[in-house]
Amino acid sequence: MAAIMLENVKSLFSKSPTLGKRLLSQHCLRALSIGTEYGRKSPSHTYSTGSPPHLQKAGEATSLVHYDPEQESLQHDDYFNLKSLVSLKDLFSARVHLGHKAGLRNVYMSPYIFGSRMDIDIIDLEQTLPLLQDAMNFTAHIAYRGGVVLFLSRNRQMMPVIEKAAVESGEYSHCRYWKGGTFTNSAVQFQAETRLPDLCIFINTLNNVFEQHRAVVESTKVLIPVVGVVDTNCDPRLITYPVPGNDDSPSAVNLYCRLFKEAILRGKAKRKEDGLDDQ
Amino acid sequence: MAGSRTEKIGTIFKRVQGLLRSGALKEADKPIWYDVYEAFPPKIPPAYERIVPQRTVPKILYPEDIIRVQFYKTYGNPDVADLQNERIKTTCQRFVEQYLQLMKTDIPKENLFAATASALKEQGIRLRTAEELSQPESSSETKAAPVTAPASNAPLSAPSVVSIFGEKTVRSGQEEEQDFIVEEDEDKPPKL
Repeated sequence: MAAIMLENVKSLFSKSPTLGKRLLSQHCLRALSIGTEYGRKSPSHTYSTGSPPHLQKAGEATSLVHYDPEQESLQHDDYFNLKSLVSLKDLFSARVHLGHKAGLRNVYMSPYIFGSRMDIDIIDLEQTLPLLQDAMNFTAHIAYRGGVVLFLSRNRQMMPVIEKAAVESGEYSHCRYWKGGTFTNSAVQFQAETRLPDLCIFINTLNNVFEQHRAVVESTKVLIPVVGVVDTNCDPRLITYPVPGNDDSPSAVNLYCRLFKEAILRGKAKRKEDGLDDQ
Repeated sequence: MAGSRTEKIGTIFKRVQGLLRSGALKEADKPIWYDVYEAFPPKIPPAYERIVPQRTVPKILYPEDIIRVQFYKTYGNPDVADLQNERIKTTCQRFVEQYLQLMKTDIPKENLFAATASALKEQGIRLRTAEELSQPESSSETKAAPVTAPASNAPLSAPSVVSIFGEKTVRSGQEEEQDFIVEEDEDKPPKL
């Protein structure tokens, strides 16, 4: 409700400041009081003694001149409406629950495992779903703020799918051999100051010899957050937003690519809608 | 960007927080993810140093697994299963369901397996033990004809493709074939 009102007020502000102010004091008292934190601090006002406290607060809000959609977007639980994009059934039918043999298990993954069926670890999708939604939300927020997203994987079979997802979402991918120091020594390697990504999405956090992808450590070193799909044989510790799930099956990888692509596109669409692109 | 490259100490958030607090990083220069992380922190902080979880992963077992073991030991795997088709149940699954149904009746426990097998055979499901399969077909002619049909009659009694894979698979196969024929009709040289 508050969000809708704010939208109205915003549009009114651009058309007629006085009308906006009038409406503000009449209808949108509570809604705008949220925004005061980010607005300029008002000089001390004198209120008539009889006005109720919520009206007094509104008096303060009338001095609001600065509206920051970036900060406002963080007030929402699900600003990009991503939670409805994926369900538990979708994860199950994409075979996200299938892990590796129990012998390959990483100890740090054991809280995310539902159980071991015939020595095959089964990932607990009830934990995966909220973690995946968190990761998608974070990704969308980065795209909303104009961040650069990099998709990474060393799974050769799924390379075209991941590169296609990156192209379609207008972002970048690196699915080839990772030369050590690409992030940490970028200025020397590219012979110029290099714009590093703001978020790394690992569709597979292992490299082709089944050790951790070197970019995970490098991202952490240069303070880039990491979203990563971690199978039962992966180490989730340095992954900022881990998504426990199968990282080998094409059906699962297709699902991840589709979801992260959609999250980025929704973030960018909202950015356009809120007028952040013009600044 | 300025910052400690010791990835094993703290988390990325804490390290940036420290830089901001000390003034090494100006408020205007903070990374764009910082506010998002602060608003939506991960459930577990991504720290390298953490306590090893002392959880023993449970084994997933079902009561009917014992029936399954007995079934496969006796009959082997009689099916060609299509994992994409969830509408067709495997013989083993039908056996398990029949077994659980009969468990509710007053048949003694030791006779349940045989009772289930005969109930399924009445429904027209072919169940042959490993020994029956290994024996030459002439010796099993004494039994009912559809159960042990000789090789020449096999196509009649054998399960059809539709019964195994479902109708959808067959239809899609036919469509592909038709597409292929249409392509052939056009007077184009075949692509090599």
